[in-house]
Amino acid sequence: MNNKVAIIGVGMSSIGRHQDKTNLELAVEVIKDALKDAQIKKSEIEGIFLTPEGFTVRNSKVRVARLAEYLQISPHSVGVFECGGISAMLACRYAANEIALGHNKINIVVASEIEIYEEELRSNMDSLIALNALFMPYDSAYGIMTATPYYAMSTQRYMYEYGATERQIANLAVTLRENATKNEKAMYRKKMTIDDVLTSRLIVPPIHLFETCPMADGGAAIILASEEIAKEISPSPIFITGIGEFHDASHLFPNFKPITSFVAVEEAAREAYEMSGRSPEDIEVAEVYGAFAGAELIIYEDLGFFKRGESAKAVEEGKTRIGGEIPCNTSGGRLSLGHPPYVTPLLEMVEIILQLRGEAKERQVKDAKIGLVHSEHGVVNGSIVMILEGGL
Amino acid sequence: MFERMKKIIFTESDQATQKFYQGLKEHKLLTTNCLDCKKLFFPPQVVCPQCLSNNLSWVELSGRGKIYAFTQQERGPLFTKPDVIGLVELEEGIGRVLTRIEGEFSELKIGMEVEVSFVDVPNFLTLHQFTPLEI
Repeated sequence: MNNKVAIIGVGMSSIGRHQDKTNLELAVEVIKDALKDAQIKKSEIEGIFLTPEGFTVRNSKVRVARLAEYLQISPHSVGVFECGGISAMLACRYAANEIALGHNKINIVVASEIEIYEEELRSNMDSLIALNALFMPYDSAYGIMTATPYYAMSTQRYMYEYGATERQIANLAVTLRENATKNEKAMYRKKMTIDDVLTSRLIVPPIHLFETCPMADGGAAIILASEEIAKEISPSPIFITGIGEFHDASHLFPNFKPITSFVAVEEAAREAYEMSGRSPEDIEVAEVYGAFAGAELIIYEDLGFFKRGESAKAVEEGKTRIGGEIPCNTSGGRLSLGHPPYVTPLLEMVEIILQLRGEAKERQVKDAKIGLVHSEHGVVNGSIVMILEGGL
Repeated sequence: MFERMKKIIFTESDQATQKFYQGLKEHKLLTTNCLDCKKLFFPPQVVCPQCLSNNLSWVELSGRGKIYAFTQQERGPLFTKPDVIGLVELEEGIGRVLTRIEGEFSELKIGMEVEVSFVDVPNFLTLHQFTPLEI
């Protein structure tokens, strides 16, 4: 980027259930945390960028104006961004661009998500229809409500093409859980074994329950600032040194392309590495938007961390653990931290920022200065990859 | 719920999708072929994805192909549970189709040759499904 942009403040809630709060309350809570972390006043915010309220709920229009009114902030620019799982990353990208272009000096990106669950969801026709409508007009007729069956077929092919074993895939979930035991914000923190994963319900074969991302409520906020402001007020600004984005001409399952590699991630990563002048070997810690264990293994390969077909073995050898060659999802990842999709990219950024500041406590990757955040939408049809660096 | 889903599929779909479902009702697997650039593509659209021409014709596919991948959904609401769904690579080399696969999950294999048949779902639509030739 011509004008450098830094992150100077972060806030995030615990991930799990926040059913006693309204979406607005949750948003306000994380905004307050981020303002405190950045040590700035609300009046200094010039731009507010949000994501929708959830996948199972009715989304209100112009929610950013309601938030501005509630907090009595008059922003120079606003927006609500929607493109599935990359929504929060898109909001960040826009917020960073507004600073890089010199329009604003300090922006905040906020995501808060409260969903409807279980019986209430199953008996709520509008929510069910809304979920099913994502798979219109063909696949929806087969009763598809979530992307899980697509990921199941992708994982089946990955096992078929590369010989990855059931135990190796389960091992990824175990590795992520190990990290989550050290994260008090994570939804699932109880230690787990490979056998625990393989004896959990086989929901959509070959995917077991503990290899899936739990739907969750949660919120996060990120404050971005120009280089000048960041250097003046922040003791440890984290700079965005590269962003890459790519969208394949496909929605959900591509008709032709492989489902054991994702071109959107490869291309977005290539652009981000090029912009930052970094390569996969330079990355010291990464947060990956892996919604299922099998898909996460493929994405490690797309990002260039391992050769094609070698992720499963690399994870088994401990290469992605804290202390390993390339620690991935030190937060616990989508599987154990919990996964509110409209918030997740911010949760990933918060984790990398804590790591690069040296504030990740028990899960700290020693001396990490260069981190990567990956996000995707659909069945990895589109992707944004961001490289963050500290100590600049 | 089926009635509502059916209504949504019809009111929110383009002419090509509606004609595709009409074809299924007549037990035909249809798609569109571009008369200008000669591209045969699936699923059908109102414009050619290659040259954007509207000058298209309808053709019936052979309904044969191979299983590319498959899984089983616990909560597939349409059929007797559990419900095997999969991706079939169409014989014409125009890509894959998501469909129901008739057969026991444990007996199916990637690469199996399959053939289309049609299933009328009460109060809903007629859908395509594929059955292995070998079992």
